[in-house]
Amino acid sequence: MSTEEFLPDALKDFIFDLHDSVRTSQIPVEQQNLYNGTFRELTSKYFEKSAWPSTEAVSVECGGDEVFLAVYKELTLRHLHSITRPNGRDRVEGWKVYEALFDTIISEAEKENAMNDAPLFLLPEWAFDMMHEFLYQFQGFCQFRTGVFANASKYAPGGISEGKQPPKHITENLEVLSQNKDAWAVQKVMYYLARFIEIGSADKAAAAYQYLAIFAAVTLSRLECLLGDYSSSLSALDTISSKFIVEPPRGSDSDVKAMTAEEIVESVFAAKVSMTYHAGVAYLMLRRYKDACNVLGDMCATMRRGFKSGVYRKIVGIEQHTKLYDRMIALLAIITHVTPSYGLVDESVSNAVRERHGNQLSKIEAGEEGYEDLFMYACPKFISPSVPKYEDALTKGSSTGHDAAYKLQINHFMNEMSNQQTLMKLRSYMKLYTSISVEKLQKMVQEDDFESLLLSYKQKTYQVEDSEDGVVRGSVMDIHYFIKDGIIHVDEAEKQNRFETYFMSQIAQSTDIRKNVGSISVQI
Amino acid sequence: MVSDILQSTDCYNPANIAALESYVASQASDIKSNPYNFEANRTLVKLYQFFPENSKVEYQLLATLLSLIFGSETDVGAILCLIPESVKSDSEDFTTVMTAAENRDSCLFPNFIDAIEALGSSNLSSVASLAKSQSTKDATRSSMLQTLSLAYKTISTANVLKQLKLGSADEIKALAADVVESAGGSVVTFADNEENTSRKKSDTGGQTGSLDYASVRSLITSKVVATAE
Repeated sequence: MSTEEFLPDALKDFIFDLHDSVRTSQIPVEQQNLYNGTFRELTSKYFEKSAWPSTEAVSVECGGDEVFLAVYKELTLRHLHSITRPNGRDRVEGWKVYEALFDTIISEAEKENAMNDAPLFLLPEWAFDMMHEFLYQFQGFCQFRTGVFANASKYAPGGISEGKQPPKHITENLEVLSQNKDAWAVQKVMYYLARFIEIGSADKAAAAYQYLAIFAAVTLSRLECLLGDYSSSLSALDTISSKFIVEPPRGSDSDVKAMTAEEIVESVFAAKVSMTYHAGVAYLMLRRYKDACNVLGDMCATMRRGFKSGVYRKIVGIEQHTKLYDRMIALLAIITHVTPSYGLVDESVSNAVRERHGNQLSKIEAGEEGYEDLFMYACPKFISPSVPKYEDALTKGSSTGHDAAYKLQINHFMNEMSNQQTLMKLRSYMKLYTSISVEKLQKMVQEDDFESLLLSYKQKTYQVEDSEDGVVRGSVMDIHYFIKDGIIHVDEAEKQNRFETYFMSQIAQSTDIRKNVGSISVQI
Repeated sequence: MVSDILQSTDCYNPANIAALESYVASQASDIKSNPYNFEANRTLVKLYQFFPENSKVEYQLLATLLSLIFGSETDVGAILCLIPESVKSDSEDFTTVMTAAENRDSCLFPNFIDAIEALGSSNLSSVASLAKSQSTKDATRSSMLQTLSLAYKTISTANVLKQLKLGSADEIKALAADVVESAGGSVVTFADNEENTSRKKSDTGGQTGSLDYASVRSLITSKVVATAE
């Protein structure tokens, strides 16, 4: 009996239908049901703790279609990695799956008339999941090889376990890594993402390539952030503009309209959250606090309303999004504390920041350290992209710690925060006056190089920010001061009375109260 | 050729390192003919991050120094996030550059100028040449004047000359004519800008000039979704 004869009929039907939706019919609604519904049901029923059948086993159900089988292999690899703890060989194998998949898709796209013929279709959600997992595995691999090298170094001369025999798993992993130095090479990872963006951004690109381009941009932004290149992280998002129009795929209903790249990202919640979080980190590290507050604050406000209303209950993987929400709140705690400014974030988000981090922020104001802990909680897991010299692991050891990449970013952040308490003290004194001489304020603040401090505060809070007119410069402070003829003139920031926000929030509260009252059963 | 590299999907190929090093060196030797290019310099520093066996401290120094002198205040931070701590701590020149960056950020201008001038004695001729060049002197002082113009409407001429280590008031106006209104006599007056003048108060009686439709839309949308649930 052949392998495929052992496959349940439901599975054979699923493979056949999925192949049809990816390659032939390309009907989004059908693929949605298969990808989000049937795949999960079959996984739960047959493969809860095991791998899906191999491509060889299912090949006959899809006519041996190489493109579909590469897509299928990636889909099932994701499941396998979610239920097992991959070792070195598994991780290298994962790279080979993605390498084969992406080379296949790119090769299909480069064929003549590929754009018009639309050889494949993947839902936006599927395209995002593929890219997201690709980078997740790359990040995991970087951490894995750094960890293996660090552990092996303990047995090198000068290490804490010098003279002892390293455990078998360490030597095995070192051997696997040494034999596969090209696996998950960072320049190749970046090449694939850049190539997808290039293909999907071309004129008349098919919908699937456009989705891959959009989510490759989101993924590239995340990758650059993990590498500590914050300017590139933000530049990667230039692809996601309102000028990037995605026409409905050919299998769509006639009433489906074209969408912009921004709307496509909005339609995949996980993509929106990931993109916002990493953009927020990039803005913070580039000292663009207003932009950071805008993106993080809007996202947190939306999520807060969603958590409250229960809308997110049905979203798969909501626990991961909740973690990102918590991190974004921590980032906002830092930013709003450093640059207190009225109206920078929604009132509900300000309340959330106070609830979760009020104690910590009070301690910072009292002179204790606290920004570092907040940032360490909120920041992503930065990675080192370079390949270690495996041959030196057991002979020379490591000259840098395994967390060098992480510490580099923490140190940069702490350098930024180094004189925040002094600046906050200056601000609190200035708020008491509308005008005061420089000498008098200097006596109160009692800081050396006082005029430099005044200048530095101005410079640090005069920041780049996005606007409708492009990138402009403006102050993020809630107070405004300048010096003329030896006198510091202080204007408090213009308070903007957002009446519409007040009325809408009261209307929303009133609706909630009426809903609660309406749900009370009354029997007379 | 460098622009081709930067726009290529394969820009992080180690084969590009030599061309980018040459381009960084050309900026350092003659910034007027080879304008400051943050993207090219950052790409080189990243290539070193990906392939540390190819990294050269000289070019990491040059990229950092170029961003400090000719770039925005965020450029130098963006570059420093890509250079390992071990590189920064092992090089005396890098320690000096870090000191210069901290002084610039803290607006300790005389100390900043001293640190840049100290790099004029570097054993690396490219670094020394960049530190001593007239372009560097002009650019650093011009940017310091820009910073002063954010906080000051008027400042004593003696204070400016002391901070920027200049000899006469004529040099002030020559460096940053667009921000200096007048530099004769005992006072330097900066041209009006948003930061060195009083803010205009709103005369709309507290009413906002326009409705924030984004916040209204998001509130309504959340309620519609919640009601549908």
